[in-house]
Amino acid sequence: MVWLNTLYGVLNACFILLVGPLIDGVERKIRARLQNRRGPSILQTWYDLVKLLRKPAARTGVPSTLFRLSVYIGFVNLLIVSLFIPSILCGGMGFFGDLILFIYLLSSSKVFVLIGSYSSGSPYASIGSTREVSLSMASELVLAEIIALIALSRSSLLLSNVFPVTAVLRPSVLIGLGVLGIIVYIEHSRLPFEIGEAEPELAGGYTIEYAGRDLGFILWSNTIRRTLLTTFLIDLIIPLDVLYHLVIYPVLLFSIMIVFTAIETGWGRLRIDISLKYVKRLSYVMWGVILLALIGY
Amino acid sequence: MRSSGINQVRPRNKYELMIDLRRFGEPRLRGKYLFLSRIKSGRLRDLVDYLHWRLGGYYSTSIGVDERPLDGYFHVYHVFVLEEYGVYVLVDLIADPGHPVVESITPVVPAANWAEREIMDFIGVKFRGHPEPHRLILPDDWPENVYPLRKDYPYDDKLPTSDKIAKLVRESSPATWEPEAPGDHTVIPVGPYHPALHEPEYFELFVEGEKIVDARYKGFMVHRGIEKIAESRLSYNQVSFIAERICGICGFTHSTAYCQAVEEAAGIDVPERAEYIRSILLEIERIHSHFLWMGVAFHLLGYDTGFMIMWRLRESIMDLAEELTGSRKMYGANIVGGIRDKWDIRDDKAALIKRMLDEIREEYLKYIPKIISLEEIKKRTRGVGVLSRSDARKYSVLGPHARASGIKTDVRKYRPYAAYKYVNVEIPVLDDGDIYARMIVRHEEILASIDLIHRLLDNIPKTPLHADTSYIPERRHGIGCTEAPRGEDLHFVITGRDNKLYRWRPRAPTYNNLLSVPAMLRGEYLADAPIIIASIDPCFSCTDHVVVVDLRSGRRRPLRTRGVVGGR
Repeated sequence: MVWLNTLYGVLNACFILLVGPLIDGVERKIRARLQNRRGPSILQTWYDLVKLLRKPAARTGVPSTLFRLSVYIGFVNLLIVSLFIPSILCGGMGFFGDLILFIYLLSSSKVFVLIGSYSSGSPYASIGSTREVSLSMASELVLAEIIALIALSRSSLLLSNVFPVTAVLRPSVLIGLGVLGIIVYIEHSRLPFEIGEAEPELAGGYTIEYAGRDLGFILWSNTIRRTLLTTFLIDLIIPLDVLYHLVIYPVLLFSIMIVFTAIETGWGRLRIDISLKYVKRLSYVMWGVILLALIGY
Repeated sequence: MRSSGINQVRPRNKYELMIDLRRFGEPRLRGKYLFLSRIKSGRLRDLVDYLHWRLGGYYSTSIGVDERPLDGYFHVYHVFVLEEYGVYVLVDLIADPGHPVVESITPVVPAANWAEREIMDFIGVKFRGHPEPHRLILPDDWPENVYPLRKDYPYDDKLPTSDKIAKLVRESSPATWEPEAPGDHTVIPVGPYHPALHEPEYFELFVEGEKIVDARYKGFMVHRGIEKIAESRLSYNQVSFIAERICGICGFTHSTAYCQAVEEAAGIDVPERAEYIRSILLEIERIHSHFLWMGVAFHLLGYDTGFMIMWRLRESIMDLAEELTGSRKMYGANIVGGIRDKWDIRDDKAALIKRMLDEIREEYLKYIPKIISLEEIKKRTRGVGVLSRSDARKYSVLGPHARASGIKTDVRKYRPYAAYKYVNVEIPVLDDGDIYARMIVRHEEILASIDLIHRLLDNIPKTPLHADTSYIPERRHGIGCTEAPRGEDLHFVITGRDNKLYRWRPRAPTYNNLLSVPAMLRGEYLADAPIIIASIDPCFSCTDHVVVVDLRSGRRRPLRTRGVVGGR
């Protein structure tokens, strides 16, 4: 049934591509309401994207090939991930070792954009991307630990074998899922961990040198990355079942994003050194949890 | 420099002070002003050291005046505030027109750095021994040896076209000055346009990773020279309105300070009711400014919810101002000698204002305790951007910035003006010197101001609104000081003939406070730079005296006054 799986994958990818900016629009509305503002239409992120994608990419000086291509490499990486992660339909996955592929593609998509931005030579871009890289290196370590825990609990690295991890109800798995929730939040680059763009400090940080189409793809990638990370979290929780994915998954996706938004409005921005300290602590917790899993809890 | 005053008995009042200062020159006491002229040669720095570091006074500002048409000399006045004695000491230095050089006091009082450079730019008096004798305000392509605030420079002089400027520059080669970068560091430019700065200014941060090694400031990009228009073609009452337009946030404090300066010079007694109304409007302005600052600070800390809350409260305060004056900002109430008739506060208005204030206080107190106890707000403001008490003295910082560094200063309390003479003003003082302390000082001031407005409204007397100002004598010096939301706002005037000023020099508090910013930035994280810069509540336009005079005319035409002050 290769063709059916392929079809499922394509449909899933379309869903993720379309719903990412929509969720962002909903978040903006909710954030506005929480701050006593009216806020834009929930389609505003889509309007922004359409406008940006129609504009030519203005580039300063002589941009390096890396600078020009990195955005698109990052976007394609995410597209591949959305092809094999079950989202609205459960299917599309099933080749060996894809848990690691998932992490690799997801983080490399970010790293490409950051390297491209760094290559522009703008001091703001280099500081923004340095911050973002140090934060995501720290949080990816924790993510790797979580992957190790999942692989341990399910004795496999295949996505089709791993989902849902809640089939094995152990204390270590539950704590692991909790930590994963936090890491997903951090990887969403939400306040207080939104330090790579940091508008009031770095004037956009790693996105500062990008404009027009390039910027549009970066913003789109960011919403897709957020949606994929949340999808991964949900996939680990709900059963791999058609009905569950068609009905429960979208509800959970939106509610998790809304809860995250609500948390975000209560926070200011942390400094890089303080946020790294937080992530480091999470990493220590995860080592303990892995030990717990090893002795069978 | 050390010898003076150590074994001396400390003078107890201004009369003893006057006698004491005979060691340095010729003192002359006129009301609140202690003029000290004919300084004995070589004694200037001892005198300044004595006034600023030993007598508990502080250096406020310096003013250069071209008094050649009056007595044939350039004058430089260094203003020292001695709150304990209730006097301003004006150290009056004379510079010969043929060779205008006086001794610099910056080596003794670093706070004088900019004021002296401003005089070098505008009047052309040179300061011997100044550590950085470079251009401050005039643009780099301004020709050498052209001094705009000299009396023989016409106010409507058309700037040469760019070709002519280029020629002049080639001929005179002005000493443009680029400071050397300390070592091999990344330079992060902050400004002239940056989301953290809401006005065009330029900071250069030298960083190593995320740590700031050193910082430089270049400012005065929007200086338009409104002093020149005021001295050349505006009448006394018109200047009050242009003074209000110096700043979009603390404009009323500028116009009050200006009016007070003229009233001081002319010896006009302002009726009590006008004083009360001035004080009430000043306090409303203070609350507005502090709300605005809090919002900006939270925004810079990434806490946009707090920003929205504070700016919503600010809307209510502006509604309140609209009820009182008809405008949300730019009250336009001040004239020399009092308040304009229509700006009277009727009893029914007073009741309404009180009710609105109570609502604002309730709303404010609902949110602010939660906001200032937020973990990340504390983490990012406590122990960050610390200015020690001695550094604060060194740079003569003012207002909430000084009070957060443990200096007890407030014009309202120690040099009461307007209606502050009749009520007690509570001033919060904290010793920590960090951003958190500055936030708390402003927080307390908001509450104190609301309280103060209530008391002022209760006691407002029934008197006329303005005094007779038909006679303003010539050649009188006056200093008007108000406690602006950011600190002491000082306006210096010398009266002239034909209903015009001879010299007007506004000095906004940010002028002194900004000097301390590079010192606060050193050794901090780059991420904290915006909030450190913002923590002094910088008002760049105040410092630069921005005013939009005429958009259409461009720079080729003489500056017009129509549309700004509505006359002529």
